[in-house]
Amino acid sequence: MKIKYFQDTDTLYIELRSAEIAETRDLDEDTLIDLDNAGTLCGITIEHAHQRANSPSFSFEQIAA
Amino acid sequence: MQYTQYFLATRQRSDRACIDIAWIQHVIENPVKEVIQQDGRIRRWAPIREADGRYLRVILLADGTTVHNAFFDRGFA
Repeated sequence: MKIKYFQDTDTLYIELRSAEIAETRDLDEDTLIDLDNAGTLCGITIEHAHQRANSPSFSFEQIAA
Repeated sequence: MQYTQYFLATRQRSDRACIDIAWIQHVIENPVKEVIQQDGRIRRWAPIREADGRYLRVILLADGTTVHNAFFDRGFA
């Protein structure tokens, strides 16, 4: 997974899987999702991320099995 | 044309790299539909003959000149 934050437009891009993107769809006006040919979610673009997702603050926690 | 960093980054992807800059210019100048988003950004659509008539969506920043996003929009009707 890769996360990129674009400061010039306050855009957050989360790449969940490195796959060939077949389609981009709107989830809402400020959220776009990228799907592969099988309809699997591969990426999410979040506009105005600072207001909507507290970006660029970020933490990752892995919970042991 | 000016471009945002997001646009330049997504241009590296195979689904975006195939989009000719001239097609983007065509959509900007000859839209069949335009929607102004709440944030002032501008969405424009036009069919691209060289891409089997598929509709290309171009999103401009509120300045009306900076290209932020461009992709083929299967959902456009």
